[in-house]
Amino acid sequence: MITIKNLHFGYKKKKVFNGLSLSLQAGHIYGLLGKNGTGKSTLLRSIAGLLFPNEGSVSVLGFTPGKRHPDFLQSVFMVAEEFYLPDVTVQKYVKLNAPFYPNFSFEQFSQYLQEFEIPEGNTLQNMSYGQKKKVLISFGLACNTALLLMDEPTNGLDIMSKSKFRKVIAGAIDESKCIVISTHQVKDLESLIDRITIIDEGQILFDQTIESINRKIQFKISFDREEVQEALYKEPSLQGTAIVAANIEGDNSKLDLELLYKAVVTNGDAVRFVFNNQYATQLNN
Amino acid sequence: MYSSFSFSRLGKLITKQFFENARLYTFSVMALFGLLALVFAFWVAIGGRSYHEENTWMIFLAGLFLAGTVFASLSFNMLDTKDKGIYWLTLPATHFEKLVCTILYSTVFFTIVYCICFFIIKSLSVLFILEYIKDKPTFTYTPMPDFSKGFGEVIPYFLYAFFAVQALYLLGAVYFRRYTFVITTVVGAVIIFAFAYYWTRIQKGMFDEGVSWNIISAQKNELGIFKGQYFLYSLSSTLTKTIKFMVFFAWAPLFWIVTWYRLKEKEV
Repeated sequence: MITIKNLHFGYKKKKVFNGLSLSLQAGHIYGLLGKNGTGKSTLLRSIAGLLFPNEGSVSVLGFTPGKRHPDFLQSVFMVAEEFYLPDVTVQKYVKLNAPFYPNFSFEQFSQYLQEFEIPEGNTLQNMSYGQKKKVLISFGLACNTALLLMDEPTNGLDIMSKSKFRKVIAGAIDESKCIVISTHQVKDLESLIDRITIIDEGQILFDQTIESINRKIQFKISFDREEVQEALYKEPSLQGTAIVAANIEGDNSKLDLELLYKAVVTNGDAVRFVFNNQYATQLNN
Repeated sequence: MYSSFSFSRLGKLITKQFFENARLYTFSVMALFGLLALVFAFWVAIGGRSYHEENTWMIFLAGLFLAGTVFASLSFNMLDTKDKGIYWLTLPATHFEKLVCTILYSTVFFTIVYCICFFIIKSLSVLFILEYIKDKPTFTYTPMPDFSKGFGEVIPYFLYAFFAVQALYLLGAVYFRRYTFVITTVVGAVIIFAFAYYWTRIQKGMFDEGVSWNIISAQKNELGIFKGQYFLYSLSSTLTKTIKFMVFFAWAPLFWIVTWYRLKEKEV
């Protein structure tokens, strides 16, 4: 669905991407993780056709996003971190914008609003930031576009709304859709995404499915000094030492995105090594 | 054709633009009414004993150019900030449709609304003057006897110029994010000044003294015993007509085309 090849992009003074390549498929919810200013939003805007590559190519559903062809635009919806909504009621907003998206479902939109407890008759400008964001997320989901891009969607949402957000997103995905969620609040995406891409300094540091991560890495609290010593990442916790370690025994553990993220950022080579076949070969020998 | 231009999408854009900006438009029309009323009140107050309808047309043109350029400068304010830019650029319509919609609002609809406001205020002012001078024999109101002559003759040229200037300010609105009106005015003035300067330089360099040149023709007046006679060098009539057509009508489409390309290049 999305193919990025050798993407080079930079702002006037700052180089953001230096040969980034990535491929995203339909039927998945991708989590794009990274520190502030590492290029997550830039990547989403490049995919949405709002920024043009200096070099390399971006292809989305067979379209070149930068051309902003209407057929492309009606297949993609972006929930930006900094977003604008006009000074009209929710009903009016939907009435004016929905006709541009052929697969828009009014029924779904109402359901999402109910889920988020947003009154439909309110004027958008009189709503809080969180309420406006929920309206935009509901609208984006109801558009039923093949690609939904979300930049820090949980920013500004209260704890209950974050939980509802996860529920709503999980129910919205199907085989024909792809959802890309960029965030630095990794905890918000746990149990939601099925593939994690971590970018740093314009490079892909890590790109694996949840299934693969669970198979090859384990997250646990350890009291074993040797195990802690050999861990890919460790940090003290109230119960003991929280570690990220290679899953040699094939144990089941609960994915901790925050720990994984820290492990990748601080000890990326070792983490990647675990995912290479070389690691398995080394163990067998 | 549907992918590059669709009347259906344009219709949706026009409706969307209207309802999303209805409050702004309402206040703008009220402000326009207020300003025109103020200008006409001033005109009535300082008119002395003789009022000429011709003056109202000068007010018409001055107001049209001033209000029109300010309005055109605000036309692409959706591209001023990232959040609005994302909203505007990701809307599923072509750049051409978005541009046509903007031109319709900033040029066509604006001109219609301005004319309606102007004629209402003007009619009320004239009614007031006629009522006011009814019992005063020394006071006069002079309507324009024949609109197709005198000042009325040049009005179409002002309107051509208005569309061109309006298109220039639209282009400025895409190029400059802040202080659009001021920057476009300065840039426009610099271009006109540079054009006038080089015109003078070319004229001085190419022709002897006493030759007047207006691009289309050069006229050399004879002196001494041949005074009154002159040599006239002129382009062919077809070329002259083409150049005149270009000067009158080509500026606005030219600026619109550049604006369209600029919109396609816009990044947020």
